[in-house]
Amino acid sequence: MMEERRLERARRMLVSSARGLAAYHLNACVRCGLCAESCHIYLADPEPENHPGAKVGRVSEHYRRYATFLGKHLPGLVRARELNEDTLAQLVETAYGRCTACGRCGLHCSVGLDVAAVIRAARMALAAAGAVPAGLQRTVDNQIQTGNQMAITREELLSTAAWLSESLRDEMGISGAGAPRVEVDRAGSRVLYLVNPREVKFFPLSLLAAAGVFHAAGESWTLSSKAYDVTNYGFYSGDDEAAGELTRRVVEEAAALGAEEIVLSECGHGFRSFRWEGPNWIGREYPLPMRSILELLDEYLAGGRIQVDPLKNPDPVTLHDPCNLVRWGGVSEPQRRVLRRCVQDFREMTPNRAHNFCCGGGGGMLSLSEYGERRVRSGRVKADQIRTTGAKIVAAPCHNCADQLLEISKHYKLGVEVQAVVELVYNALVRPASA
Amino acid sequence: MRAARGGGRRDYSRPRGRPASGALYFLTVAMLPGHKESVRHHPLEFGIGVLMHAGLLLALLALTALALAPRAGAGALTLLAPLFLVSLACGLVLFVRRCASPTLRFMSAPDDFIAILASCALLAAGAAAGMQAAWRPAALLYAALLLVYLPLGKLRHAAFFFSARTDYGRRLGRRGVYPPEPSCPQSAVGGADDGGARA
Repeated sequence: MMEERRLERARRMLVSSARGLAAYHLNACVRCGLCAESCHIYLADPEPENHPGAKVGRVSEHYRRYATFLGKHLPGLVRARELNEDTLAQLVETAYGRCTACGRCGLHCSVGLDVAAVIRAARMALAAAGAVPAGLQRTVDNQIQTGNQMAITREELLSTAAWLSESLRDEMGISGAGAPRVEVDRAGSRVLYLVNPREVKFFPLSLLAAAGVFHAAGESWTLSSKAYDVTNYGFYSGDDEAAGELTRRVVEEAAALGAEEIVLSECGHGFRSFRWEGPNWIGREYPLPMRSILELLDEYLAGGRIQVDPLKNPDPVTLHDPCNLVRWGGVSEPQRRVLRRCVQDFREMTPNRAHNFCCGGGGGMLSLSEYGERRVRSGRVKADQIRTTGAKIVAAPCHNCADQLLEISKHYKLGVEVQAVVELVYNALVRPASA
Repeated sequence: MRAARGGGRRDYSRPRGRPASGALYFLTVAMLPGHKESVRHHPLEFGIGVLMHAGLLLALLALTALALAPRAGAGALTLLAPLFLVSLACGLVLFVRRCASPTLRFMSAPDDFIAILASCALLAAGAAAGMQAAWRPAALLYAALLLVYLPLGKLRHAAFFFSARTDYGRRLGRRGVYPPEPSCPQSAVGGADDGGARA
């Protein structure tokens, strides 16, 4: 009985989400098969279930069963299937394990089908049924319960901020009242800066670099101990309620601190979630602007607020385009202008920008250990792209992508370093003390 | 129409670009072979598909004309009959392709095969009506029946093609993804070399 109630919730959510925009896309696939080579997962593992058309089919067969005339009355004719315990498991595998919702196949689809919207409709249905894979659901729960996906305590954050401030003072050689600091909960700061908890817990260099650049630019900024997480795993899991709650907290905290702008650290899905989806989750426009740190860095450089010397980054650098930042977020040029100023030898991957290939780590895949092998295999396409450039450093303006790129660099023996864009800017800074 | 208005939902995000520009780009330039990998990798299938669809559209228009203005419609059918035969051949090639490919068979429902055959039948009816006047009532009747079936099965993509592409293009336009900035080089979409990415 309980199971049937869960399934019924999933069916209703699928039909109701499909009444919106996803309906166009659920009804448009002609199963022509021409999108196959646009999918990094299919390219690495060319089995029929990985074909984008098959993934859309796996979702739309349930939609047809409950929302179309032929699906209800002649299900065999249109291959409409009941959503039951068996097919629910297959849907979970397809929606979370075979697709990162990167959207590349959609741009190249003969019809112009937003495959990612279809996959998200499935994820919303599965979230309504409580069928989100455990690793991903745990991350969402962490965010809701503790305010950040890694369940970092406030004390840990403050301690990290303190030692990063100390390191920064040593590195930049500035002490006293004007010394650089990683600010936390400073009311009246112009910028509320959100970071990936990964920066606080495991890879603080990018936070240190951002603090150094903010200092050099004379920026007034702060983190918030209550709402500093730029990630939003409700977006990945398909739980709009959780995603909206995380968005609301950040917007309210920015207002409480009196910030004039929210700046998002280098995070693909975080940027897309907060910048583009968040206002719709909470049902209102934000009272203040929001942008990526890449756009702010571009502004600093264009306005002369920071000075850089590209000779400080002599190794060849290539740029990875995170799908949610570029293909879904529209931020493709600022990071290029920044890198051209900050590195000596910048090399594009092919294809790039909105047509980039997913690294394989998107869509919440990094939280799903059960699909780990497939994730690494699907990184082969990106590994080939990187190898072709001959670069020694991959600039990855997304921490999830960076984790995946580090793993595929090791697995495919690429021998490249992976750095955030802000780290390369910080490294190229002509610091006031040495200017 | 609903898609062109944004799906009837308000988008609260601050726009970076223009939804209409994105939709226009996605419905035009983004469909050209230089911008669409699926076309670049499958030029033959794409060409065959375009020929078949062009024939279908013209057959429907000519048969509609036959119903409304019989002399003009008959003239159009006679003129277009050779094209309908070419389109029919293209449709049959697509049918064979769907039967022969294990991946396409895996993805297909019976309706997918029926839709191609039903389309081929319309092209055959159009060609027959163009060549012999005796076939015209039957061709008209068949076209009418097909229009009844159209919204029920796969053939509904005739309408959803435009709504899907318009909706997707509008969102990409609002976010400033499409149209790309003028400085964006052609190499961004891959061109002849897609980074070695083939299965």
